[in-house]
Amino acid sequence: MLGSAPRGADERWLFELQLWVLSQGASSWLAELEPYERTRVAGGVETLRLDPLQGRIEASVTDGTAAVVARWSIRRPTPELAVAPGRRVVLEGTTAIGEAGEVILQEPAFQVFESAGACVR
Amino acid sequence: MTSIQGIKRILLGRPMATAAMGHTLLPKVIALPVFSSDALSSVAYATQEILLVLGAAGAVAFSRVVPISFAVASLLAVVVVSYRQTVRAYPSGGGAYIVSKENLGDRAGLLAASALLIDYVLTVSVSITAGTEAVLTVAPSLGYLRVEIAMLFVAFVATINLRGVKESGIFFAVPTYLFIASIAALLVTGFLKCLGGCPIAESADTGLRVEASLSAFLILKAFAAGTTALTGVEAISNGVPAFRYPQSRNAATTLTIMGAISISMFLGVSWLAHQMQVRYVQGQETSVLGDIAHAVFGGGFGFYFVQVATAAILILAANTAFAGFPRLASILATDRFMPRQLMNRGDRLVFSNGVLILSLLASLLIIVFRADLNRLIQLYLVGVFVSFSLSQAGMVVHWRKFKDPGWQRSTVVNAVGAVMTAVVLGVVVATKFLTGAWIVVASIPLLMLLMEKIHDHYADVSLQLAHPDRWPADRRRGKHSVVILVERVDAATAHAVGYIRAIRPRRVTAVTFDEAIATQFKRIASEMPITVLPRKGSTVEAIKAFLEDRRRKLPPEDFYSLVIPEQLKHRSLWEILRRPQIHRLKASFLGEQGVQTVDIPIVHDDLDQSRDGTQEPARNYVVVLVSGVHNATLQAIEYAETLNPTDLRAVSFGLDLDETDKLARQWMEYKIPIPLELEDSPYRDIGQSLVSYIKRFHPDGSSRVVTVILPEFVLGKMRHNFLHGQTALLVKRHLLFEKGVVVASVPYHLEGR
Repeated sequence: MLGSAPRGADERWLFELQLWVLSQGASSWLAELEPYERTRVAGGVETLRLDPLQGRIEASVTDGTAAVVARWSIRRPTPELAVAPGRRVVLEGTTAIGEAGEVILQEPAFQVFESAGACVR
Repeated sequence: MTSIQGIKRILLGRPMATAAMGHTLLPKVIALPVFSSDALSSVAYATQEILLVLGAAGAVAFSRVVPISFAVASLLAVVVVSYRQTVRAYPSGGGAYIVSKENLGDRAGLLAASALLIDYVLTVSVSITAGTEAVLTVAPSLGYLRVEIAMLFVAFVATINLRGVKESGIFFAVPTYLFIASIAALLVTGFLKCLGGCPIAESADTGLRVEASLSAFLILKAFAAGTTALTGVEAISNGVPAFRYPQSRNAATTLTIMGAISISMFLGVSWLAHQMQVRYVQGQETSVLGDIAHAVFGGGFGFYFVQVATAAILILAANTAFAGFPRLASILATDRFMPRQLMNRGDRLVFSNGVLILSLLASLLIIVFRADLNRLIQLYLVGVFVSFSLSQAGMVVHWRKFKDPGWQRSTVVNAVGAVMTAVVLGVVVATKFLTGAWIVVASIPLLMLLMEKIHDHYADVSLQLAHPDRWPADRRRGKHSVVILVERVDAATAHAVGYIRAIRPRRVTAVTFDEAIATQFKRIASEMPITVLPRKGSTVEAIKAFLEDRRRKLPPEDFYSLVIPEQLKHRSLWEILRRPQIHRLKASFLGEQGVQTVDIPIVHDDLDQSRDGTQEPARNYVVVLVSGVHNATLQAIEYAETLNPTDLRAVSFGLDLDETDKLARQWMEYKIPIPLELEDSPYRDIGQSLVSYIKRFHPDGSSRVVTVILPEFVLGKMRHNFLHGQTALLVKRHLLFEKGVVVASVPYHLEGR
């Protein structure tokens, strides 16, 4: 369960994150994701990338075992902006293959939580 | 790790990630000593202060000590009930400041805040001085080191607080609970002894000089003196966010417990003082508490236990101020009334800058007043009763505005409290004005004025940065001209030539002060014309004059960069210190309109002798460090676009979720045409986080370089610099020794108003 620690995290944070992931009913750890399957995953947000020119928002989410990129097209309004670094998120959707051959989540449904567990939206 | 970091690690412990914040929240059993040590310690001298005033009217006046104590206790109860309501209504903390600001206006809020801040500084000075006096009672030969000992105690309490709220709470819990236990033992033993006739205190025979009649004013003065028992009550309302969840409820419960313990101890001590015929006059060596303890325990272990516990709590009373001042300063900084540096948490998730400033100010007071308790205590109480009165008045307005269930009863309670505390304030000011209170009365409006000026400055900066002369739709596409400073033809200069070739500026000129160097330079960069400047006067001024002359001939939207190659022997800050001229040069150009500086450092260990440094790198990744969407950022992005980047992006390290949300929204709203990456910074260290981020590009200094663009706004007046954290400087220090990293400063000039 405890894979390699995300950059900058200490062990206790990682342990609590993974407990939280389990409490959210995640169907698999991020390291175990396969392409083209329906999944429910959870983790902490490391990066949020906004690309207005390409019309894309991407969030890199980790659960301590691996990281996955969740990708959305930009629409108005943009609720995905709530998926900010430092928050936790539950993602539900179908996996796909990204440009670099990595597994991504395309347009997943999401629920964002503050680090302490309180739901943001 | 540097030696300074090593010492910091030993003293303060390992840095804590922001995610660990939840673990720093306090349970009630720890929160009580952290926030209540000041309020509880005042039991040690509140009765004493009443007796000191009453003594002026002779022995007959001492019979009033119990009813006066009941009146003080009633007021304490009213204030506790009022603050219970405050912590529930305002769970984000801020106490009297927030209540006054939201219900009585900004000015009233600033008045309350100024009074509280001054009072916190005085709490530290007074309690540390009182504790020092208690220590010197045992070791009078050290009296000549009074000031030094007091400052040592300040440093000690500050260091424990810098280690973390929870750590300081655990550390200080033991002496606090020991004090409570010692007073409880004193009262219980005293009451039992009084069943068979109370023992008489040694001070009962003290001769009294009658100086005044037992008038209503004297009673009022004694009452006002006794209200020193109320100091520290507001600290919990400031510190609600420090409690474990549910925060408001736990804070309210702790407040009630504190109030109950304080009132019980205070009334018990006053009753025993009356029964044992304790007398207290100015200059008396034994304190009232010491006198009672001696009478009850007969000078044995119990007596010394009470004395030691009292000395400890008097010193630790300062801890309440260390819990309250930084938190209040942080809230004021968030509202832009205090410097922004007070907003941020340090390595141990404590508002470190606030702790340090409080220590400094308290130490200054101790030095100025030579650690003289009698002089310092004259300044006390004014601040705390200003904030009490405003807080209670604010709550009256709050209830009438919102009419929550039970609002009529709450309104009456707060109205009575407001009137009583205002009366006490009047008496305190009237009786202590000439002996020292005038200093506080004069300081409060000065501090308010300072905070208003700070707020005006930040508002002005925001206005200037927001002025839409650079919105993306109106962007001017400028060109880039470069001047390279050639001090010597070495590896750093060669790399600078390679970098300039990669960015393809419209025009390149090299400058030097030496013909021989010019000749060598032409051999490695024949396409770059080089000018030899006459070596007379200051080098910096000569280069400035050259640049200004060229800059004048360019269109205003063009960028004009001074490239400074630097070859460093070692990865050491000493390398910076031993080359002051370069740093003077960089600093001076920060103030020049229309000129950017590009620093191309290379450490000797990173040199690749097998490679021609003048070759242009295949990849130039350009990263713009942003904190918000404003003119300085937009200018930096325009500049970045002129560098012929392989990849261009903006990055921000979110230290505050609200600011991050705002940045993201604005980035989308203004359609800024480059990607923005919002990164987590778990230890709130932008420099370290940026270094880790850059490493993802694998810069090697030969085929791959990363150019970091730092937007910097340059203030019109130098004195305003202290209101802005020097983030760019701190970031540059981290990046200076990173292989393959070029740092470009893009200043945006603000008018000095």
